[in-house]
Amino acid sequence: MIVGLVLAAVATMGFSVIFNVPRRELVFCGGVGAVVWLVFGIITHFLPEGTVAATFFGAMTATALGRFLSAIRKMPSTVYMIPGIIPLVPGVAIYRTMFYVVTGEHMLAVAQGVYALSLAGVISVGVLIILSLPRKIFSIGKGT
Amino acid sequence: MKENDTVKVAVAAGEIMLSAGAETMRVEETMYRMMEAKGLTEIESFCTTTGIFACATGSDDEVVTVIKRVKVRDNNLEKIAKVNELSRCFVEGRLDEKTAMKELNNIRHLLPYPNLLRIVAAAVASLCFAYMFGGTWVDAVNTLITAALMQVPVIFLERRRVVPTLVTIAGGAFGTLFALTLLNLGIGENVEFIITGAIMPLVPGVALTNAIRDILDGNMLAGSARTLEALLTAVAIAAGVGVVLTSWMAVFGGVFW
Repeated sequence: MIVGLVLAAVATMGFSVIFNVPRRELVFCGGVGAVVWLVFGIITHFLPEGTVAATFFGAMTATALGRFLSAIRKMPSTVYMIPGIIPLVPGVAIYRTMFYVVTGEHMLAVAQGVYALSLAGVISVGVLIILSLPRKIFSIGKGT
Repeated sequence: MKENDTVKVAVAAGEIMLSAGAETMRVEETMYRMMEAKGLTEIESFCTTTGIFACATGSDDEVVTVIKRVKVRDNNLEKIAKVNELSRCFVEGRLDEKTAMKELNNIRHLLPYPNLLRIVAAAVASLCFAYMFGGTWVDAVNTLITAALMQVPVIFLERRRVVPTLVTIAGGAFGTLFALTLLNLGIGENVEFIITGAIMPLVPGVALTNAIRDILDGNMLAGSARTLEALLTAVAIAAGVGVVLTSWMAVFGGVFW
């Protein structure tokens, strides 16, 4: 678990470099990635079949943290959000979809494809819900 | 005329943000606030993924309109953050048009992280992903090497301004090729975790997030364009990986030779 958290943080920081996040914010991006992975890990631990739910709450966590940090660090929330949701991207499901299409196992491809789409869908909905909350909630401790 | 300069500064700020990968709502709002702060009235700012339109009325009832086509697009969150900060200063009146324009030019030419650092970052991130997805440490080592090697053709093609989709296809193809070669040289066991980890740096994270934000803000045009961009990138990765994987399996009769 601890190893997973460190890896998630490092992976998110790696992505932050690819996306040219300002130097001083790299650590915060890594932190967001680790917390997202922690949420994901806790949910999948208690609900082994709950990858979709875990992805949903992970996306909500990334967005909420992004908005909090945005208020505290006076940076656009995108800076933290974009690297933060990367660990949730359904890479394996997309790969398997492609693999089954290539090997001609179309039923399996459809199943994996729908699974990948549902993961992408819940990421969107999770991000959307938190983004539509009023700005005030996220600016506690900073006055405005 | 002063109004002209204000609109020009606002559009320049918008252009930098948009070409650095900001969501359209942020661009529109930033431009609006900048023009509003300098006393312009009847302000309209409109932005799609490929262009900016700004229109405002000045003090002597003259209408200023600027249209800017945005061609180059990359992901540079630092530029967005910098312009964001600059626009705040501008709105608060701590910057005049001339200095703002000079600052914007500096931001425009801000260098991204050096390529070597990018390669290392991509490689290390891919290693982490391969392990997180369920691969072994040996798989992760393969992914590290694959991802680093793969960035070389990607950066090479990007420098030559090749169409982004083609770069992504090439990235997926080279990644798969390197991964399979290393696998057969005895590094790694699970091909799916290796390839998935290695292609993660190509994943359209920015496009996806921005698509959601644009749609939520009611900017359907930009939102659907970005959704399409994200889908196209995903398909391009799959195409690149798929072509090499099928050819490989056709030639060697399986993943292993």
